[in-house]
Amino acid sequence: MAEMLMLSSSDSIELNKFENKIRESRSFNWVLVRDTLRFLRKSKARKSNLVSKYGLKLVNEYISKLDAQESYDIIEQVLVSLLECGDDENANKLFNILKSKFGRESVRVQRLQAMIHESNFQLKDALDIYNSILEKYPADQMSYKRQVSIFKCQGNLTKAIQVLNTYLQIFMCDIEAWLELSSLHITFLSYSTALICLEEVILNAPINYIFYIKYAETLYSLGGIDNYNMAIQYYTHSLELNSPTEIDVLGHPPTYLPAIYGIIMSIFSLSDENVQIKESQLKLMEWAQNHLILITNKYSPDKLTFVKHFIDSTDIFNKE
Amino acid sequence: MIEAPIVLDVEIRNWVVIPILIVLFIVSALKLNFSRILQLKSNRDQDVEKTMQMQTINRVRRLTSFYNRIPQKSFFMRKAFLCGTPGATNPKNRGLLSSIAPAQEDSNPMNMMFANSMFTDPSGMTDMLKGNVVHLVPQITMMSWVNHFFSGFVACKLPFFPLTIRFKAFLQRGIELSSLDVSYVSSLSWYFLCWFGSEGINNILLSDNFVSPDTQLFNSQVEPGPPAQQNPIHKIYDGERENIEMIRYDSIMNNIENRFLDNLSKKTSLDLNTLNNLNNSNNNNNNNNNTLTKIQKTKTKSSSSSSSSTNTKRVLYQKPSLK
Repeated sequence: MAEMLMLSSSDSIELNKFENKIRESRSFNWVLVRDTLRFLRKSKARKSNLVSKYGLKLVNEYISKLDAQESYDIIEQVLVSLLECGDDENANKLFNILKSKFGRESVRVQRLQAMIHESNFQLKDALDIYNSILEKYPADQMSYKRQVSIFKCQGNLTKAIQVLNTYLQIFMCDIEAWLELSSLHITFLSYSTALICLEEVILNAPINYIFYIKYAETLYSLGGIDNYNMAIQYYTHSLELNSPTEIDVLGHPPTYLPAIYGIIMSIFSLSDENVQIKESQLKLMEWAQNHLILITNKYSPDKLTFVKHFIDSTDIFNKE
Repeated sequence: MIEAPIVLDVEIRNWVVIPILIVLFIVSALKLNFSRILQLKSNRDQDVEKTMQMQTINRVRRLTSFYNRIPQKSFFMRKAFLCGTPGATNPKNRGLLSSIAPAQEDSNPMNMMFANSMFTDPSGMTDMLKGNVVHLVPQITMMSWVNHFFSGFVACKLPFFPLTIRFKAFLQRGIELSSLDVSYVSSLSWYFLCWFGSEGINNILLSDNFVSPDTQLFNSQVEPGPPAQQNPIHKIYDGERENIEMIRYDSIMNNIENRFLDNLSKKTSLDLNTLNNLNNSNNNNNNNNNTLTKIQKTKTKSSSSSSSSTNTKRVLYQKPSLK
């Protein structure tokens, strides 16, 4: 999910173009597949199904046409997505190619070996390999991250948090790691710690509206008058960055609904706390309710009754 | 006038041209294995501390640019973490940016530069040295060998086509004979020709173990280390700490609701102004004056009156959003 958040919109449009072309072309167009794989490597988007299906064919049948250097990058890429799709047999075949080419000493080959272990649930072997890599290269980001995911998979969240903490002491500008840490803290219901992580995320990606929503949601979960007020502010800022005035320009349904629901819920909860609600917040509430109905009318009219019920049940104006 | 062709001795071919070729090939094969051995031993350590310092600087810079996005409390928390609490004597409370003690101050800037660039990062230097040793030393020895034994030989004659006089310096290095035809090649030049041309042949003949730069990258670490540091790190830290301490905190979240709604109506009001003015100007004023006290009113009043007042307001905001 974090990866998709990082993808810029122009990248995702291009990605869709590539994907459609591949799926539409009747015969296997190896140049197109190669370019797509190249683009995926560059943009770091994750399309495991696409890569494993078409990439495997490319590697099996057209390897001689590829550039010698690039072909090994492609093999690695396809291998990882094969593992993600659970195709261990083919992954092992590709791994043997790489192993015979680069030997066991190569860090990247070792990492792939560990990933194969992981997919076979030999987690201990995988952990050992990652540890040995980290002993040699203590600044290997990938090995840290894989370790975290192993611990997470084992359900050993405290350990995962520990590893992430040591990782973040070195790489403190890694948004994905901060996000991961915040979600781990949220599973432990320690919202205030999660907030610190999310602040770090916001500092690193100050124009991404989604992170403001995440921050506001965590604030809302924490509760209390100050936090509700702050949550409203962050939801609003997210709306500023993802402006509702551009709704007609965009070709897709609006993406700021969480912010609108968040504003309504926060103000509603605030009104429960027996405090004076500011004039500006009342206006905002009005706007949010109207806009919610408007959007629902436009994009999913069949759900209008639910939305109206929601608005009625959270309406602070008619509350007794 | 037709120049009489020079007859080159067969011995020259046997003892100059072919030996140079063979020796060059052998040396390049040796060089390859030698560099592989050095490579195994080099495995340049990534300096964790250095990475950390770079990341810290990056993080601090982001904080100084985007501090207004996070709440005041969080900002001061970070400030305390980075700059320390004022007046703290305990070194633990002095903050991350003061944690690095300045190295012994050197009055001579040249010395400082030297110390920073060379001695603090020995791994980079030895790597460079190794690369130079592998590539440069054989080159020099080979050249002096050719120069010493075969200087002055006309080693061979280029077939095919005559070349212009400008190639003389290139093809007849070591022979200062102005009347000699350009297509004759001196031994030193023959050596250079072989050296430049052998890359491709080596690639084919030694392809099993030939390590091209890209494969080297695959074998070694993926992430490159941080770039070499110009300024001493504690000076950058000091600068960044001052930057943070200068910040007068001000959040962009202040009064954000009004700003947002204003912008919203501004963007859409251009063509709707007239409508609003015609229909709702009176209601609008009344409503705005009353909204502060409305919540109390609605609690006491009957629902019908309040809903009517909200309905008029709804009309007000619905129009912009309809656009």
